[in-house]
Order: sequence, then structure tokens, then C-alpha cells
Amino acid sequence: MTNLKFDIDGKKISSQDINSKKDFEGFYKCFQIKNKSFYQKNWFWSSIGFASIAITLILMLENSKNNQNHLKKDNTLILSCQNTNSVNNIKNKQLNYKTTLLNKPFSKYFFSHAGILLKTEYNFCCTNEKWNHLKKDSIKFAKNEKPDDKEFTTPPKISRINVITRDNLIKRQASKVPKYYKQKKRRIQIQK
Amino acid sequence: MNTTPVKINSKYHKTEIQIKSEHRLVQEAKKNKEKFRPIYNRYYEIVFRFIYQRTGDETTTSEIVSDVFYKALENIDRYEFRGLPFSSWLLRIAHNETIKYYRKASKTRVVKLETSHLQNLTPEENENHIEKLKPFLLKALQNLKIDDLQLIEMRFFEGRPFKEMAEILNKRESAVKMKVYRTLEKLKVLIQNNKND
Repeated sequence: MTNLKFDIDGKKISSQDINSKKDFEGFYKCFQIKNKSFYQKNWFWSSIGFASIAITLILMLENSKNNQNHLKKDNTLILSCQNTNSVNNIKNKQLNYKTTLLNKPFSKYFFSHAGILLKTEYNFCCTNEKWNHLKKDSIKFAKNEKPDDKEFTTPPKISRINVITRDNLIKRQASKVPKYYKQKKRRIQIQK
Repeated sequence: MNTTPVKINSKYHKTEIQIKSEHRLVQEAKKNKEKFRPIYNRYYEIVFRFIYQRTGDETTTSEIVSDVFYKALENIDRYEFRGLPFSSWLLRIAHNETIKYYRKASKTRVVKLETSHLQNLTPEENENHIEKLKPFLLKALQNLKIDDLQLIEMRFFEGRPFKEMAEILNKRESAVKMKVYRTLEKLKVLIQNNKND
């Protein structure tokens, strides 16, 4: 049951009164204001503005992420220098070494883990003769993995000897390696 | 209760020629919205009276009428001609807008009627007898559901044809007819109960 109010034989409104209320001009003006085309409305342009800002930010973030990933890929190779034997081999073989400039913070981090901290202005990573980064004998990280998660208890072994590091680093590492002196065979002559 | 002698209001009856000329106006308004003016001028009073019948207040009615025409002009492209007067479509919007108004404002629904309208509900009773029956009749109407009451209102107080009622309420004509007769039966029982009390 709803609340009802019965108005019996109440006030009647004449056609003249009703027609005096007609105002098409006013009504149409209101309609035009309320019913602007979507491209004329403020919300349209403001949303376009927000959308373009958001797209620009996303693209910038993506770009920086890609750069970081690229650098991470580069830096996974540096640990192979830890093996002193390889350094020795490099020294002995006298390979043509080439260096690649790294992003400073990344290179510092990786060199410190490798135990070959270089306090030079720029650090270098290992490359092979063809200017490619070494793919074997290096520690790799997963996409979102932090270097701290890796255990560096045993240094990776290098099967290939074409590891190239900076010249002075090789010298420094090579100096630590004990020299192997070949014992001279004494020839004992027994005089008859 | 006999339902046959209901007088259909001539205002709501449109000839085929009138309906076709209306349709032409609507087609023009669809192409150019500024040509909505003749429709606005022609139907303003009809829509106004329809809403005033349900609100009983001129200011509120004017506001709702503006909303009705606004919605009509906004959605005129969606209007499909079904051989019925354009006013039926307008009144369907008006009906919905009135319901919306009462839902929002949660005010008491007004039913404007004349004593002669009550005669339509009880044609077998004399005019003198109607005065005695009026309180029972009003009490019975009060006990009806709003959906049933608006059927009685449209048919017996406004004298609308079933076809138009169906169009306004967005229902089938046969369904509307059936519901009107059932509501009358219900009303008859309610009046009898009120009399016995």
C-alpha cells in the first residue's frame, strides 16, 4: 500500500496557463548546453591529457627498464675473472684484449663480488676476441633476481681461455700467482 | 461492476492522417533537432496535464515536463514509428519521469480526480448515491497497489484507450485489458468489505 492523496474536484489549470509556460527557446538553449558534442566537453580533453601523460610515463619506464636489463646482461660475465688460472692463461697466451665501458654503479657492484675491486674511474668487463661478451663460465641472474641471492663460495671455472681483462688487472693478479720454477735436473757425472 | 460505458476522451484519439502528419514532424526533428519546435508546442499541454494529474503542483510539473522533453529530444533518433500517436511515446517518458520523481522525493502520490470520474467506476449507481459511496470507494482505491491504481487512473479518470495505455506502460494491450478487469474485481471486493466494516 502506498501513500496516496486524493485531490477531488481540486484546482483546475487552464490551457492558457499551461501555454504561458511554454518556452522552446529557453528549453533548446538548455539542451544545447547540456548536450555538447563529446569533443567540446571538458572531461574529454582532460581525460586525453591524463591518458597522454600516462602513456609517456609508461614508455619512459619501459625504456629505462630495457636499458637496465641490457646492462644486467652485460655484467653477468665479469665473475669469470676470479679464476686466477685464467688470468695466468691470458698472460701466457697474450691475447688481444678489448674492453667495454660499463655503467659505473653496475660495474662496481660486480667487480666487488668477484673480489677484483677496481678503484679506477671506469671499470671494464670481459669480452672475447670478437667483441662479444663471454657466454660460458659466468654467473647469470634471473630477470628479477638480486646479485646478493647468489652464493659466491666457489668461483666458476673457465674452460675457455679467451677471457680478457684490463691490462693492469692481469698484471696485478698474475703477480699473486706463485711462480713455478722448474727444477733443473742435476746431472751427476760419475767420474770413472 | 460494468466497465463498458467508459467515455474515451476525444483528445487522446488521433485519426490516421493526424498520426501520419505527426510522423513527418518527427522525421524532420530527427534530421534537424531545431525542428523539434512544432512537436514541443503541440504536445506541451498534453504532457503537462498528464504530469499535473499525478503531482498536483505546477512548479514540480513544469520541471518534470522539461525533463520529459529533454529526454525526448535526446533520444528522438531511437523512436520507432508503430502506427501510434507520438504522444504515447512522450507519455511513456512522462510516466517514467513521474515514477522517478516520486522515488527520489519520496513524497505522497497525488491522484487528481473529479466526482464524475467516480461515476465511471460505478456506472450502475445513481449520482446521488455516489456521494454516499465516495468514502468507501476512496478507501478501496487507497488499498490498491500503485500499478493497479494507475490503470484505473488512466482508464476511468483520464479516459484513455487501452491501446494508448499499453503503449505508455510498455505492455501488450490484451495484458492491460486483463489487468484492468482484474483490478475492478478487486476494487469491488474492497468496496464490499469496507461497507461491511
